[in-house]
Order: sequence, then C-alpha cells, then structure tokens
Amino acid sequence: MSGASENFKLLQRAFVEVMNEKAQAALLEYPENPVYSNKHLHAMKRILSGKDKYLHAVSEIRFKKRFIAVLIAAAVLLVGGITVYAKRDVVTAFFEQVYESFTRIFYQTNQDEETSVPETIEEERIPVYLPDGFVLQEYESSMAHIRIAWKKEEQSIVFEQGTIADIHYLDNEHGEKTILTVDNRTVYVQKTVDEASYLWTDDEYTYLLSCTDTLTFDEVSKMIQSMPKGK
Amino acid sequence: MLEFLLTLVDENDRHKVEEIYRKYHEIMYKAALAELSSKPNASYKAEEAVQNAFIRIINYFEKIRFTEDERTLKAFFISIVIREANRLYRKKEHISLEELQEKLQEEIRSDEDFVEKLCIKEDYERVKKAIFQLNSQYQAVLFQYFVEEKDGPEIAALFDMKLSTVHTTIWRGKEKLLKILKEETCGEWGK
Repeated sequence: MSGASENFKLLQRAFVEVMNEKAQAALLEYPENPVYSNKHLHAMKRILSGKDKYLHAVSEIRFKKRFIAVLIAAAVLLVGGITVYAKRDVVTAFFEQVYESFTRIFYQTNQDEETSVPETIEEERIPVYLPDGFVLQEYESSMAHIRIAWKKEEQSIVFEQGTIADIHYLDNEHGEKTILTVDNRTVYVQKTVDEASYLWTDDEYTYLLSCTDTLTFDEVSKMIQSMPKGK
Repeated sequence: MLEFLLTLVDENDRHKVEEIYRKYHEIMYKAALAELSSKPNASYKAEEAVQNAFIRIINYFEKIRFTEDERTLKAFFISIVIREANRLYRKKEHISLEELQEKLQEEIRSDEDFVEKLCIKEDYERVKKAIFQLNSQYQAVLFQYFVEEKDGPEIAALFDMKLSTVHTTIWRGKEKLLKILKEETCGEWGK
C-alpha cells in the first residue's frame, strides 16, 4: 500500500469513527426510548411505503394562501349538527350574507337529499396524471382533508381533497369566474392574473385544484380526468 | 393510490429500506435531536430531519453502497441525517463564479496534498479529534467525499445542494480541518 493510499484509508476510517461516535454520544445523551409524534409515524409509514419518493423538505415550500380556511364550525353547523332544515336554512343564509361581499362560488352537496356521504376520507382520489417536470413538494393528510403540492421551477400546482363538509370559498374580488364541464364533472373555475382555481365535487368529496396560470386548461383537464371516479 | 409516486418497485429494495428503518431510525432520530438540541421544538425538527433523510435515502437508494461494514453504513446514514438536521436551519451562502473556479482548481490539485498535510499516519487521534470539531455540515459533505468517494455532482444530488455549494463546502471543510490542526500546534505539517 502506498503512503498516500494508506493516509487516505486512515482518513476514511477517521470519518467513519467520528460519525459512529457522534451516534454513540447521541444514544448516551438520550438513553430513553423516544416518543414519536403520530404525525411523524404516519409520515414515516408513507415514506417507507414508497409513496413519497419526491417529497422534499416540507418546511422549504410555503405556498401563498389564497383561500379562506375551511370553516369547520360552519360545516359542523351546516352539515352535521342541524337536523331541522328550517334552522339550517337560516344559518346558511347568514353565512351566505356574511361572505357575499367577497365570495361567489360556494359549493355544498344537496343537503335535502338523503345521501350517505363519507364524513372522513375513506378513499384518496387524487390525479394520477401530472404534467411533465412537476415534483412533489408537500403532502399533508388528515381524516377529512388531503393537500398535495407540486412544483416545477416557479410553477406550482396544489390539489386538495376534502369531505363534503368542507366548504370552499373563492375570492370574488378578483378574477374571472366560469363554469366548465370536464369529463361529466361540473367544475367552477376562477382565474386571476397569475393563478387559476378549479373546484368540483363528485358528491362524496370536494376537490380544489389551484395552479399558476402557466398550466394550460388541457393539462388541468387531463389531471381531473385521471382521477379515480366515485360511485 | 398515488401510483405515480411508487418507486421502490422491487420488493427486495422495499425490505431493505424497512430494515434500515428498523435498525437505524432511532439512532438517526437521536443524532438529529443531538444536532438540534439548542433549537426550539427540537424533537419535531428532529423528526422532520429523519423523514427528509429517509426520503433522500430512498431517492438515492440505487447508488448506496451497501457495504458489509456496518459501522460505515451506519456512519453513512448518520451523515445524511445530520446534514438534514442542519439543513433545517441553514443559511444561504453566496460565492462568485471566479471564486468558485479558483476554489475548484485548488481542490483538484490539492486532494493528495491535503491528505498528506494531515499527517494522519503520525497522529491519527489528533486528526480524528479535529474532524470532530468541524461543524456537521462539513462532516457530512466530507464524509461523502472521502469515505463514499462521491464526486461533487453526486453529493449535490444526494443532498439536494447546488454544485457550487458542494465544492465550496468541500474546499472550506478541508481548509477548516487544516486550520484546526494548525492551531493545535502540531509539528511539521503544513510547512
């Protein structure tokens, strides 16, 4: 073995030992069994199942919030808690009045119908098709909501699946609103100067797809069409 | 569900990842926790670092050298997680193109000189102690560079770093290591 090669191997050994000693020191510093959060265990389960290959540091990406948060309390009142239709109508009217000034698109399933809709997300229905070059940046899921974000350079796509109890409000102050049909789905579209939002339902879940305006409607249609259909 | 994300098609690979999880998850978490102990919400951040580390491991799975030497493999995973832990609080560094080219030249011609200058054969423990004193960012990148023998682009891909940052980190890491040793007034090296 030459001197240089021997030196190099010793350096390699030193680095390996340093890393192992760091690990050993950490074990000594934290001898107790760690208690992981449920969120972590859930995330690890997903990662190990191979579903989150392209997921990168979640904390890196912060998408601009463009929609008013889902009004859980309102949803509970409107969907779950009220059995007397007349009362619900009053509450509905109240909320419609409150948000009339800045909302236009308001979707909920027809509550007069006796339909059985899932109160939690029992099946993920998310687009299988993804435009070229987009990489998964963020995945969040809870019992009643899934949010996935992809990014390609400066372009972004955010997809959300919620239960029927979710109420989505779109900003009415800016942009142009249209209603389109994609694959027999009625899709509410709102476009602003640089962004577009698509809102629809399959009577089991609600879906919201928002993206930068560089994504063509053809691509959005393909995404919507690639989603598993409900009953 | 999420078919387009499925990656580890090979069942053997999947089992291997699960085995890595079983064997190294806890130690990776604790190593990350030790790195982040002075930061707020250290335990949550450590979990995030571990998640990101596993994503990197899976993304880079095909290129991992599954050596028989368990200590080297463990060191590899530790280097990934400490890098991820530090990444959560990293600061951006800027470097000019001219400076980078200069450093690249320096790096290319000085790898052997660098190892020579360490005088590791003469005083192995002193060099090891100096490596310990490097910050984790340098340790992780230099580990990949010297132990895993990865080049700049490979390290950039593994750690999702800019190539220029990788080269700068290698160059600065080596400089710092020499500086630490020099400050310890070792004999004849560097003269």
